[in-house]
Amino acid sequence: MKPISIDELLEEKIQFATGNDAIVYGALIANCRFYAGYPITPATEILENMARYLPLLDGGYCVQMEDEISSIAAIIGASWNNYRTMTATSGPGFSLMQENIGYACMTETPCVIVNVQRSGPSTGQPTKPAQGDVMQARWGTHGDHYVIVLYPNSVQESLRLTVRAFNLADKYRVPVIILSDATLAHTRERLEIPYQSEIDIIKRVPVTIEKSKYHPFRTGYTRPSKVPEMDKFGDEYHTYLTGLTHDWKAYPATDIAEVHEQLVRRFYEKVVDHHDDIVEMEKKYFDDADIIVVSYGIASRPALAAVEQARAEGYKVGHLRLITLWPFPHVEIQEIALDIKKFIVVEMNLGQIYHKIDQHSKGNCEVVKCFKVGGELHHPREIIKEIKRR
Amino acid sequence: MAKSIEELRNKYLRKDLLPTMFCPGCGNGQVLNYVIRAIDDLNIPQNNLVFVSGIGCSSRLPAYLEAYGVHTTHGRAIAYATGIKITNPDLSVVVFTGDGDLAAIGLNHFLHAIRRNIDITVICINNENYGMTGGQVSPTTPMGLPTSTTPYYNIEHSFNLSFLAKAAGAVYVARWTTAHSNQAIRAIKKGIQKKGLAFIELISPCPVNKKVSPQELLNYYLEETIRYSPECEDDPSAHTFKDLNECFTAPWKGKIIIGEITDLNKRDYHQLYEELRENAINEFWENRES
Amino acid sequence: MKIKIIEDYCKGCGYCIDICPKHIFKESTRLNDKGYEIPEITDSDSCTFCKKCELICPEIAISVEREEEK
Repeated sequence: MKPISIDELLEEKIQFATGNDAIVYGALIANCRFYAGYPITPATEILENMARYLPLLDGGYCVQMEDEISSIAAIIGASWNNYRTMTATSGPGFSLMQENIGYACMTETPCVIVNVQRSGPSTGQPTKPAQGDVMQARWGTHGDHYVIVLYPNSVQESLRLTVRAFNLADKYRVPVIILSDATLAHTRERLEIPYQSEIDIIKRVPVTIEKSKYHPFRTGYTRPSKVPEMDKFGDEYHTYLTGLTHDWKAYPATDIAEVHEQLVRRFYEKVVDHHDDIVEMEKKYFDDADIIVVSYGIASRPALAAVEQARAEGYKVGHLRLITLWPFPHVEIQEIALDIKKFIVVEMNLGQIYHKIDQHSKGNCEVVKCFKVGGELHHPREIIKEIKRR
Repeated sequence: MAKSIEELRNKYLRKDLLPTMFCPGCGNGQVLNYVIRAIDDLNIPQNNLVFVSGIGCSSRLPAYLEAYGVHTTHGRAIAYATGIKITNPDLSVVVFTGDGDLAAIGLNHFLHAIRRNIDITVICINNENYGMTGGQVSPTTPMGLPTSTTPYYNIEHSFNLSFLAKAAGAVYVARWTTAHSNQAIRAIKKGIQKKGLAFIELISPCPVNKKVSPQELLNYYLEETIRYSPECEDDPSAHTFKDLNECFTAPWKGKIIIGEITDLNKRDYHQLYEELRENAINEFWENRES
Repeated sequence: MKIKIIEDYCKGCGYCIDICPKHIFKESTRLNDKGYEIPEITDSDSCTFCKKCELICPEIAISVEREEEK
């Protein structure tokens, strides 16, 4: 039985592919080999394609679980076998996954969760796009925790950010959420699939210290970092994982306030200390702009079109596209706010990133809303209207 | 040669965490006693042992064991165990769960893992209430009993988890009490060695929430049990039940039915997946050639 | 036979008292540091090494060893 390499499997390097396809290809070239998921519109194709490809790859397993809760649980468990793991869902399933996302945060388990957003709340408009889960992606699970959230705006970027998501998850030992939406998921665009040798794979740091000196959640003693080395099942270190607050020996320590505080602060700091490494954004036409249109994900497509059309008519407007939503680029927003007259926040919800932009502008410029709900993208004219408004 | 109890303690227990947090007479401690003997007898490489648990008193067991331990969220241990076992079939994955964790919030994952025949061993330490939170009614609390959330009395029927597992198709199902030490140890060994999902239910004393002394419960378990036997020749301690429903009728009502309920063989998930993999890869290369 | 109880682990549940076929363990009023009643071991010469006490103990506190014969 001749094994199949990833480059043989993904032989066709140029494809006319959907956003969902791109996420699958990105995961596979990034060495994701375990996927557990549940069918849900508009993410189902991700599960279907993983089910087709993973059995063909060495050590690849894909299982359709009985619900989203068991899907996220299975990928967290599998991650501790030194596997890169992923699941994908939409709003209703994402809500179900929150408890176990918190478990991944508490145990510092790398994993990638894709939320192909659809209009909500509840069953909502299953086949229509929205951006209503942005705050939930940051705060959906209870307690003090940190996650990284990325949102592509094209099929090509869906592949690139999926590869990046696995690297960030392994580097910071944190769940990484990729947001997409019903439109990006099903839109076909030209996709170039890189050879595996062309991409960077940043692996998690394994444990190499002597067992008697090893402490699963102690950091800074083998190398300067707030991210602990990661054990794996089958090794000699016998790490104990628990959702309870624990000390660096991994033993439950629920009665000691300082232990808890140190633990949750470290969850926060290990991500936030590396703001520059994690935060990504795209700036266009900033040089002469006194109005900046801020958008992210699919809404950036009409937003950028609106900016370019307005510029052609002589308006001094620029475009800021957020690519990393969390950690939020508060420093960058603060700086930009000092130099402009207003931000126009374009999003497909009733205001989520808007509040962060408003908060971090600190009153130095106007912050204007340009929201749309109902399952349709903004038309550029709706945004141009805000650009032109005095 | 079998190790002495001191050698077993040194090898398998995290002694800096002892004595355990369990109440006097708690069956969880007895299960710990049995598990270390079972894994030692089987000579399982300690690095390959992964104990997965949910939430509850029973779920505190992995912390005491010198092996890999995964203390997860309420009811989800079996889902975590599924991901763990599928991606590393060389591991010996044992799930510790309780009646609330398994049969209430976790029932769905339990039934599906049985259906998939994932090669894990599920040990349900059934004390017929939610112990950790102070004695609330659980799906296995007998009908008629008062508990903290059925302050008058329980009006719901209770599940017999072993019969549920048998009906769902589990390959090995055994039901004992924690008073039946040797049988429990043998069942745990058999379950770990079995390919596929093995379910071992251990009826366990919870003296504090049941408000009786540990000794009363121990004696009840030794006296009020009847052996479920596929065939028995006039053995008064055993009975061949014509079907599972008969267990709930007099004179068996109120007795604890124990024994090996099922022992069969079926290909486990891993075997089926590897077969799938071979078929899929062959098809891939055939399509390439044509 | 040498029967030992690790007193720090014992929680006075009394299982060993009930399970021993030779009634070697007896109730006592002696308390350990945590205030649990530790059973008294009487007549360890009648021990048949059945090890039921070792098995039944929820604290894995009891060990039974053969005494070395001179």
